[in-house]
Amino acid sequence: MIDFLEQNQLFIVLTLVLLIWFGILIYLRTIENKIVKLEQALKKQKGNN
Amino acid sequence: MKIIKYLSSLIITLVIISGIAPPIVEFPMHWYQYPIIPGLEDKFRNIFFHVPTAWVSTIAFLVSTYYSFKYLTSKNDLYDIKAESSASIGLLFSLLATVTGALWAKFNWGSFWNWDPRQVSIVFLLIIYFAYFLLRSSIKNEISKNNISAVYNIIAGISSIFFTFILPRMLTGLHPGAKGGKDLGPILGGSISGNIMVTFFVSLLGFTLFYLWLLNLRTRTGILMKELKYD
Amino acid sequence: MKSFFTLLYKDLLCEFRTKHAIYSLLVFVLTTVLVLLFSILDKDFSVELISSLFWIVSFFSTMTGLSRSFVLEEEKHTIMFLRLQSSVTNIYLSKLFYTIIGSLIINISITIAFSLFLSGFIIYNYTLFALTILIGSIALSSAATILSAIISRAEFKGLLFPLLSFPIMLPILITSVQLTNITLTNFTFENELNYLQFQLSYSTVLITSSLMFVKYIFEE
Repeated sequence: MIDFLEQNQLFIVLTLVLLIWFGILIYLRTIENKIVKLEQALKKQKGNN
Repeated sequence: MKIIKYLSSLIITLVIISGIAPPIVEFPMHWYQYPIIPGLEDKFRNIFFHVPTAWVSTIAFLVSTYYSFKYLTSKNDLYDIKAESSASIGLLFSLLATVTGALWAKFNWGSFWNWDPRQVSIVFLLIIYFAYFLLRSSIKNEISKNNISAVYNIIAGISSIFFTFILPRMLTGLHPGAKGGKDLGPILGGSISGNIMVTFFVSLLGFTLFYLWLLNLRTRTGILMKELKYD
Repeated sequence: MKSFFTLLYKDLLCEFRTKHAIYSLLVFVLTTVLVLLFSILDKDFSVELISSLFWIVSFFSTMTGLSRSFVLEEEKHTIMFLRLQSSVTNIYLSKLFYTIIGSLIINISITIAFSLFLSGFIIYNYTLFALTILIGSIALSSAATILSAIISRAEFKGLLFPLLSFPIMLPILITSVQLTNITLTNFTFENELNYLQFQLSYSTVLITSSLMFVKYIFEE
């Protein structure tokens, strides 16, 4: 186990960094979807008034 | 905006892979091998992440100053929102640059904090823009808040130019390009292999596009907040 | 132009009557020098320590005494009358010159006090020292005046003022300390002109941008 970790240091770091980066991306996408929904709701509200 | 979004996600993913995965060998034979840089070895991979974050923070602060100037000349509230959003992203990225720099400093210079001019100046940039948000929150009148924070932002932008571009080159320090240091560093000195250069500049591009996406998101939330509060 | 001199005269007269800045300066200089003398009794102080102390004292006495100019006007609600009497640019210029004069007086008094009490404070290069003090005062005042105008419109003035002014003034303080180091040692250096140029350009940019944008601060 320790041998495996030592031999593949770079790839372990790489997978971890990629995981974090994809987490950030997914988080940003959800935020963007929420913003789009809010913008549409606001538009509808303005149209009704 | 959609293109920027997908392009920046793709480019940064590629940069992460091509920054970390390629092996470092003494005599590179193939295009996917990086040469050894004496004194840096594996640690130089950080250049693909540390420098772009510092770059984005500088860009964000300058853009924020530009929008403050636009606000004062046009009195359009949108520019005020953009200036605030850009400053907040700049604050985030200068924090990231400080952290990545401190980690790099630990393994290259021996300790997390070395009182290098650039380390000191980025902390003072953090304080300057932290004070900007404090100033914004401490003025109640909406119009004078926007005006005064725009004036302060212009002053802050001027001193950020002096902090990032002039002061670190006048004082002795550990970063490449400081006073007394002969080498300009691996990038500006031009003594580096082509594949590292390509990855580095692609990384700069990717982070800049990512900044544009973040700025777009922040501006839209700012507009939403403003409209919900006053309608 | 006439209103500028009237405003400057009024500021100097007010200061002469209350003597706030002079008292705070005296307290700062005396406490620093006395604490130093008592804490390290008979050792010589290094040049770096003395020059940084010089600018620390100068910074704090400028901050507490002089740069409250705009804040005081706002607190006494007299800024309205000033604006009726003349333009914002004129008010700014008079405050700037008032701060420069005060800061020069402060720095000269610190020089006198230091050379009386501290044996390590020997000036070798008199012209450079005079230039350092002159340009340093101008640069510090150019930052302090516009920040004072900004702060006068905000709440929590006591907290915000040091937080806003310290990072903006830090480049000036660093270069001033370096210049003072050079004047206090007998060696010749080649880059003292760089520091002077740096301070001059910094204060020029600050003053021009303040002149351009100070009118927006008092706009409602």
